[in-house]
Amino acid sequence: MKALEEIEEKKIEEEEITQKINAINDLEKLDPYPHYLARDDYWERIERACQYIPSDYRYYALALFANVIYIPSIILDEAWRYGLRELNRLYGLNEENLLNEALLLEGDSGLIRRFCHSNNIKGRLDFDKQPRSSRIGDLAKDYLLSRCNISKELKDRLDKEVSKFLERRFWILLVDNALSGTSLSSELNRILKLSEITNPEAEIIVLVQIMTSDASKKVEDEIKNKTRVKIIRAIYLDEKFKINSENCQLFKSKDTLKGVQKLCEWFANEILSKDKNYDSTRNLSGGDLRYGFKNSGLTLVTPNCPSNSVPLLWYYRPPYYEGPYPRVESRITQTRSLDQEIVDYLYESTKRGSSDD
Amino acid sequence: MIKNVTFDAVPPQDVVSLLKKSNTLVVSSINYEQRTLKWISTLPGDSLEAKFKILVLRSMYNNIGLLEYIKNRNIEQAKKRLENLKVSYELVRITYPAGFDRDVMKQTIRSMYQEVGGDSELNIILEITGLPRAIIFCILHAIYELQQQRKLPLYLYIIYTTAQEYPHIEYPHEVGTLVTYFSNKCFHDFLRNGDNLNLLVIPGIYGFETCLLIEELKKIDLPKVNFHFLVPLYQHDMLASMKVLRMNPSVLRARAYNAKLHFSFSLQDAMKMVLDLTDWEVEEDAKCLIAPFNVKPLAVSAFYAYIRLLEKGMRNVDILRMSGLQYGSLYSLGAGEINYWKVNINESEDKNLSGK
Repeated sequence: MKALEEIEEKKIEEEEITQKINAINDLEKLDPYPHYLARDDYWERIERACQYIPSDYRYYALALFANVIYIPSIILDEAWRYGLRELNRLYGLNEENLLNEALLLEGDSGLIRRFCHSNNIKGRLDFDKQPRSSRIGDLAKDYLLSRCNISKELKDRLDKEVSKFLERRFWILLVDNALSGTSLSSELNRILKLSEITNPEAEIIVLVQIMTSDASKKVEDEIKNKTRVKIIRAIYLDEKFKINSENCQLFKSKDTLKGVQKLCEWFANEILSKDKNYDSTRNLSGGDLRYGFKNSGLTLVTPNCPSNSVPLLWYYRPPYYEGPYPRVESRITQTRSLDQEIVDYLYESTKRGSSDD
Repeated sequence: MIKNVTFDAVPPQDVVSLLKKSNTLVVSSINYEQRTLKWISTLPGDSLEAKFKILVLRSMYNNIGLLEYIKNRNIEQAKKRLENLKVSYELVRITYPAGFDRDVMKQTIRSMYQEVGGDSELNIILEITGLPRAIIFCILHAIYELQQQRKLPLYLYIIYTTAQEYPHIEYPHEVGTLVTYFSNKCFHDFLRNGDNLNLLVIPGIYGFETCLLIEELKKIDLPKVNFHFLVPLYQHDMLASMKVLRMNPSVLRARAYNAKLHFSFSLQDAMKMVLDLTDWEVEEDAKCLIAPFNVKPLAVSAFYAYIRLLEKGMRNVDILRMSGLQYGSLYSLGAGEINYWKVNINESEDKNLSGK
């Protein structure tokens, strides 16, 4: 623990650092961070990260690492079970009738599989129960295709196949993380538009495993007073969990919070700014990423640490820095899909058609 | 016979409409926690016909002057509020914790019931925020017995105000032993070598009860244990939920005790899960213990789980609690949101996809 030797005992006690890190360590033992990303014990990974940090900042790094909100798969799977319990309580949907009564959509691939496995829901790949694609963009493409100038037989079959799912009363979108709320509000925009032209009575339910107050505000702006949209979230992280908020309550002392913020600034300037691989992410996010993507300021760690968490946790590029929770980047180029254009086109052309009538 | 219990969240206005009826009995208690005042402070100025019984708890000895002063101040505020609203209320003195007599308590509830109208349909609103668990169990038991005897409906509503935060304490504010509530036995008298055990533990925020329970369990040779931990992760207070995990290292080492770990995500979800996880089908000689060390609504849920197991014919069922010796802390600071539930017994769960 050489890198940590100079830290005063009093400070360690003040922020309950050992107790907090031990708890994360125990939670990791119960359900480890993916071994292909991080092998050693949490204390060892902290020690390694601290070696790259100037001694003046090490206490703050320790305080930051002690306040990681570690949400492993064991909790995330239970969050999916909670989602189904709520669907049952509010709408009478259960593991027996869900696949036949609702259209399941996913914000990211693999979520429906995990949701069904966690809840022991059988038959998710049966084509008579759910569409072959569970992305709203793909459904919109199929719907568009069924309206194109193709052979009548194919058109009828495609129309029948797409319509039987779009006509369902419940449209359920599964989302793992809604942290800045950008992706979810775009997805909801597309869902609302497609629903408006195909099934305006559909009840849209969003099941979210982890949602922040930032995302909640953004989504509320998107759905405004649309009562047919219901958000069911399992874990909710409000301003208390944002290290760039004056309402942050992760740390006992305001001085510690200020020190952690300074450390994030140092890290962005001295380490992260030199990595050109993050230029496009910086452009998209705005700012220098010191508090993570879209300035989310989180210390959240899930099985692939989100980029909305502060980079001190996930940035990993030896010999410059080794964060304790390396992540696999899901997006590198930040290019956009055609989904929005297709849905917008469908929406506008249908609206135009109905006004022409 | 209890086959099915649900706790349905109801809007505050539903409870307010019950308060306008004379066949409604409200049982509440004010202590030194700020949150115990919140519900009464937010009552509307409509003509309220319900009868309010405010339990004032005082120990036979070891009362702490400063806390008593805060409690008296809060009670005065509550009285003022109720008088302004022209509500019919009565302060009912209960000796607690030292000198508490559960038979006297049950008799008190029965008298209140008779006074409000034992011959008609009745609503009981139990505001549990300021009530100790032992008293909650006692009142629920009295209500359950009344429900069994009555031909007319008796509807039960639960109100609970969450805390804004919990104080940081360096050591347990209660020093005591683990006892079973209903059979009133020490842990080691209830559970013996060679017993088969079904156990559900809902860890509390300070962790010491769970820690003690684990230590005690290690000393007993139990051939078959069906052990569950339920950790509530509350949306309204994720920081406190995280603290529960930190303060209960034994929960995080659940595998070491062959325990199954479960998580819930709201108060209502946790209340439901207590019932789901205790739906044990076991041989009648097996011991069944529920340890609701977390927030009070879970004690309500644990009570109905206990009754259901008893009605199934299991003889050795009980609820585990910590026998505290004295108060040493305010327990909570500030007042959060007020929750309202209707306790539905044996109502059909079938929503027929109709939504709510």
